[in-house]
Amino acid sequence: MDSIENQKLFTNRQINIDQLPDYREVDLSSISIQYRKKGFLRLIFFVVLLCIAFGIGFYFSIPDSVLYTISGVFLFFLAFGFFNVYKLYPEYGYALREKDVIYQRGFFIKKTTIIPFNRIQHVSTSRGILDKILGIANLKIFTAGGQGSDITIPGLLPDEAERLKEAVANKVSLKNEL
Amino acid sequence: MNYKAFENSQRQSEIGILFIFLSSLYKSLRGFWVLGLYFLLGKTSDNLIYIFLGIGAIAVLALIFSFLSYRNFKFFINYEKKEFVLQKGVFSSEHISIPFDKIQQVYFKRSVLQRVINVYEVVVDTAGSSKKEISIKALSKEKADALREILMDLIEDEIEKNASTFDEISVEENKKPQKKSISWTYKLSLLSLIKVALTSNYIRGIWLLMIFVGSIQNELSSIPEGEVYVDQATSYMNNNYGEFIQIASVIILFFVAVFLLGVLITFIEVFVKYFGLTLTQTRDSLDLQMGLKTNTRTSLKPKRIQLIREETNPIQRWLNLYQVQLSVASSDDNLAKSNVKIPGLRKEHLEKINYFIFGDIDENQKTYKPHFIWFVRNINLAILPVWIVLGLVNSFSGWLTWPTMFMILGIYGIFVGIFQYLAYKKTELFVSENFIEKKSGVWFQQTERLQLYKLQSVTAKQPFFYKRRNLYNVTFHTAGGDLYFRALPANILRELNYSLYKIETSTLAWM
Repeated sequence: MDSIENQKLFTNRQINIDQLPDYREVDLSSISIQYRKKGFLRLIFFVVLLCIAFGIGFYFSIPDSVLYTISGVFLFFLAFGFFNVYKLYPEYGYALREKDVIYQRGFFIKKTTIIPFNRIQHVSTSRGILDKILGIANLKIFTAGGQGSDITIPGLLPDEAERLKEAVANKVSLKNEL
Repeated sequence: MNYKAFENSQRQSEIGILFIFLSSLYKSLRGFWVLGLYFLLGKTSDNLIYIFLGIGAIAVLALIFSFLSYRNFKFFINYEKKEFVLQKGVFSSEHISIPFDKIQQVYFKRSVLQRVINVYEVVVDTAGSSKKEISIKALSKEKADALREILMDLIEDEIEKNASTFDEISVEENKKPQKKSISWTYKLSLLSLIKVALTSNYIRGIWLLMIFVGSIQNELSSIPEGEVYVDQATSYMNNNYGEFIQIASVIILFFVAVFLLGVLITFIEVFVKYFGLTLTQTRDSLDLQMGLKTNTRTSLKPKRIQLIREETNPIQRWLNLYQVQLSVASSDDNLAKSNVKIPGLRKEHLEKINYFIFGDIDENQKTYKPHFIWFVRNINLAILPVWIVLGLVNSFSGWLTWPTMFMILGIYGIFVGIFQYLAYKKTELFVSENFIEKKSGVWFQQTERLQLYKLQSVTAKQPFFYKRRNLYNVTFHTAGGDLYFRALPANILRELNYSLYKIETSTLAWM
């Protein structure tokens, strides 16, 4: 640590915390509108299931009062679900900086996670059935910090996801060559 | 072996289809076993044909699935980008790439089925959390060996290359034979162990007791005669304990008994677990040895320690007893196992351990306190469930009159208020040049400490009800657990920027 080389390079300027780059000043890119459609499709699928369950309940002559109470509760959650999907979409945002990746999401609880490139373990892209139909993809970024620290950016265009993956992966390994 | 082996995309062994088929068939049949049971128990034997048809259909689907799964599962080594690439998925698809230098370990795994078919599962382990997805389920012995060898070689090359770019002197130093000079040793005496066992957290013991009682009760209720006892007991209760005070005294007696038993269980558990605890600090590690029944030995390197948590309570503080919990970054699946608890330490050892792990701790600290709303919300959260329970009890049994209910709630409220106020006073976050420290807890007082450069990432959360006051919940993620702090004013976000600055400019290895 105390090599002469290091001593020459060694500087110890004062850090002014207010002059450090602020992650909130970054313009975030938004995700594809297709992701909102995906949310709605999932809810609709759920509605279909609910209708089937309702039919079965009707067939087995479960008392109406029970049936209506249950479906009332479900309808409430469903309405909330639609509202949430609608409101969630514009809250998604991501950005790459020189040294880290920023990911923001959440309407009721707005959450921003920032992962420095030199702490990323690996990246992957994934696409479910609905993603394939709608032409979108997810980008997953893994760290060693456990579940709360990993992120999944949904609703990216497949090319974009691939490009981001490359960009992040390059920076992950680039840093190790310095 | 040629240098660029596995350069082109590869599939698993063809026999792998069989493995995927059998395991997916097993999984899907396991999902339907209730249905199968229903048909089997049903008297109509002509249903048998449907069962076989059903199983047949599932088998065909599973076969198609496993074939597609085999076709779509590809892996290769990208020498140019220095990464291992894995593609998979039938309905969904996944594309994973792992840089060589992030691979911790490549190892084999074999289940019974894999043994029978004679294939090897190759697992590529990184320091991340979800390793399950980075495994190749079915490879022949030769291929598995070759892949492992090549990957391990590549990883080694990569690490060596990185090491050579680091300071050469430190490399030299590592090559020197390392003398294990013992700095100090601490042996937990029997008396101290008894003190620790008596002053530990009893809640765990009480909880264990409740599980035990719960299982016993299950046994009892499955015996038909048990109901007679229950009836007798109920009528006995009805006859003799009609009065409120009598019921109350029985309940209090019950709680006292539970508490005492809980204390006993805790005592035994702590005694067995930490008997003969010996902590030794050598030149480069902390070595721990303890346990009556099974002697566990652990060696901890300071570099691997991500988060340290000191805990004490007023009685233990008075007895000069402190507990330290060290969270270690591990490539193992179970995070719980990588937490090492060391109880019964003295204040001086605490300082020594801290010095060993962190060196000098900065003195210039900025203090952050949660907003007052933290206190209000905690009171509400504590009172609400009691309010609901009392309300339900009241509406179903009519035991309590409204005035008694309000009285109970009032007394409870005062206690909660005092407790939460103390908790509010005790909860603090300190940020210094290289460290973050969190203090919390009224009875069990905790201090959590971490080095900024060991952080993995940071998260800021703002629930909608904090928007008006512009407050944030922040989480500092490390590989040994998170440090979470609620309801901080917006100027904490500057510290997030600072943390990122510290992580991104650090050249030290976090593990």
